[in-house]
Amino acid sequence: MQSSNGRTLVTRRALIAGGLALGASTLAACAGGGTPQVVKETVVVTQEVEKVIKETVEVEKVVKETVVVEKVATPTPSAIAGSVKMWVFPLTENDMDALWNPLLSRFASDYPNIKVNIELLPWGGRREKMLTAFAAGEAPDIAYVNTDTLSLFGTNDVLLPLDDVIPKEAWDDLFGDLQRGLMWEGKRLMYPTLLIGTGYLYNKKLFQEIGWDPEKPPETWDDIRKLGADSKAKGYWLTTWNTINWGDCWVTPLWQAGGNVYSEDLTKVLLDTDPAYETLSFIVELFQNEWVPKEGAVGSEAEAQAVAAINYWIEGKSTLSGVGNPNITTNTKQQNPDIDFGICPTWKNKKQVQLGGGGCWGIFKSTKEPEAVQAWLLWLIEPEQQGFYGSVTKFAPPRKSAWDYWAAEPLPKKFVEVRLPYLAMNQDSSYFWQEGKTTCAPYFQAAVLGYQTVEEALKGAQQDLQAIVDEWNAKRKGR
Amino acid sequence: MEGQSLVLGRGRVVRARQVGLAQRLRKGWRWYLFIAPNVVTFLVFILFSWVFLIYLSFHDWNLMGAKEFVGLDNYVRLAQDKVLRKALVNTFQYVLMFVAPVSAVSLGLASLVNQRLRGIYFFRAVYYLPVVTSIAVLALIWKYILIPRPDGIANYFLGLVGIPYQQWLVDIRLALPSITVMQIWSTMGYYMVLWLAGLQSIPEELYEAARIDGAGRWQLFRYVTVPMLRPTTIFILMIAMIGAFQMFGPPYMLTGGGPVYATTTMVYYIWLQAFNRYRMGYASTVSILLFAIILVASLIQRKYMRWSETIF
Repeated sequence: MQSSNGRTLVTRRALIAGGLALGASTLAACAGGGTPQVVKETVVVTQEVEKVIKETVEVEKVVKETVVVEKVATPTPSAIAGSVKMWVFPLTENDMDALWNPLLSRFASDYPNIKVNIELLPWGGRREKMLTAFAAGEAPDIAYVNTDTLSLFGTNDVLLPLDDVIPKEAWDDLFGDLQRGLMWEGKRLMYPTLLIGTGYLYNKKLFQEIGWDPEKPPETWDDIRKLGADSKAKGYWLTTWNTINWGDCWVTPLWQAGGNVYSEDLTKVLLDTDPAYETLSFIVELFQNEWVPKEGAVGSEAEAQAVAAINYWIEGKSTLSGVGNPNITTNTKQQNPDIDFGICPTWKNKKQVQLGGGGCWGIFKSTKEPEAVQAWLLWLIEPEQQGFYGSVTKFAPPRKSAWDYWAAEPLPKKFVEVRLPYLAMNQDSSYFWQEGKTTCAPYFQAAVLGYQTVEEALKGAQQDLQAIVDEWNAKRKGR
Repeated sequence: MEGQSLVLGRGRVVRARQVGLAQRLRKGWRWYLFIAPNVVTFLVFILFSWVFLIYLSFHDWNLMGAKEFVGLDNYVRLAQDKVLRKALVNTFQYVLMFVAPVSAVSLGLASLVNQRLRGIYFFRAVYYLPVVTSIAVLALIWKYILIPRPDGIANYFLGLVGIPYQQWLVDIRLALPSITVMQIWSTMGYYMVLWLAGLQSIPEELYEAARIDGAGRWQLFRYVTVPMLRPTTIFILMIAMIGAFQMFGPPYMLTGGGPVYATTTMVYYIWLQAFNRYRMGYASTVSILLFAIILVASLIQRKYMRWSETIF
């Protein structure tokens, strides 16, 4: 078949293959239950059609036809069999009973021949566990991964690119520009399961006490400065600040000041810039004016993940909460019901922006059950499942359509909605996260505790972090 | 056998040894079965790990990708690493601040609980409790105790005796000593039990004989208890020193090695390189350095405390 300009629209092979596919799909449809044998044949034919179409696709109509054929030819759930090992980390007090057992039982009724083994591991040392499991050849098939490990996994080519696994509509369904944080060399290696958009609450009673309008939370850095001074004057803390909290206590304020940690091409560290200077000066101001407790200057990542030793917010001693996820609203209600609080908007300086992010799923290339694990992932990210996941964990679903199934209380929902328009991701949120945090923390500590000036601290941090980036780039080029 | 080697030729000595080994194996193979689990454990978990560690020190490896041979690069980096130097100094300071005090305090404690008093088992259990408490819990408790303001618990007690409040963990000079105090408190129960075992193994007759000779309480302690505790002392000093060189928990849980590397120890730095910078080869090289340091320190201790005369 030829078009008016003489170009081939559909080759004879394509027509034959299409006919075969159509016949096979009819057979499959007649078979009803879809026995594995019939499906196997269907898959073979589909692959043939795809191969032919790749050579000849020029007309939209042909593409549409193949889509129909593909859908019909997809193996039915009962035809896929296998065992999937999945690593997850706890997000509630009892993840297995509250979250995974209900999901697994629903999945088992849809996919009776796939067995999913959930291994719930503690958060502590999660990277160590993942790395050593890899070294021992015992990696899971699929795991909860954060974007902070993207460069590690990407460099070593261990995650399966998900562009072709997950349909386009599921990618388009994600909020904001979350996809930017999932990309490694143009391929998306993770798919988010929960939305991380942190922020602050404010104590309305304390606002009244210090002479602030309880319906007007702070918005700008100048507001924060004034609130800090007014809070201190009445004997309250402004909030808590932790030099080891890379995302909320460095990357977000740096973005708000108009800066970035790394250049887009990942060759330069940008800590010797005006926005970085402004940001660290602001943080130093928080500590040296004693608007935030000094103990936050020193801390560990492990401690940051554990329960804070002293929660000034819950004790009603700080006007703003410490930075937290949406569940900070319900936690506050549970731990001190007397606190009447409001939700702060995303802070604004030169930009009003907030580090977004997501806890994600990643499939490891080492999986021996690619079909089963892909079926499980596709099922798990369906809006209904993702909505349930968010309802139990109290994290917002990253898919817009999952919000219809998200049975969140009004407060956490409002907490996320306030932040949604400002959530962003870029190279800073996915590359050299761990390295950046532990390299810069000692310099930030030196600045806030007065051992170094802001310039000296940034110069040192710039030099050390640039060395790491250079080393990484050199290895990358060598590959 | 050694005597034989003086009169027999070299080949005959080797053959004699082989025959000896075969005979021993034939005669005593049942006994070798008993030590087999330990031998296998040693081979798999110690010897193999050691060989692999040395092998890794010549490679660049992030646990996921391929191992790349880098020759002596890791050793060159070792010599140039300024943070490692700081970690080394911190580790030695910690060993000096920890070993003698923890030994003395736990001996005092053991002496106290070595009395025949009502409820003494309860006190022994209480003093031992921090040993079995998770480092995560201890870290949170001590973070609370060491709040760097006048209303902190530690500062409150200092205030009672007229000492101005301290910054503890956020003070570069005080962070490591603060951690040392925490570690002495949390491990003294363990050493107390060891001392207690030593104290209770001293025959009562020796004390009786000394008392008959007119010895007072101090003389009993000085001339009976201390000499009889020599093997225990050597053992405790040795394991306390090795443990101190390997201190990891408090920087990991409490300070993240800060402020400004003030509490970064060797083992914490090894962890940082391995699991934060993903430089397994370099972490292995630092581990070898730490092994060498502990070995030398142990040999020095062995020489000056004359182990062989007292224990073996």
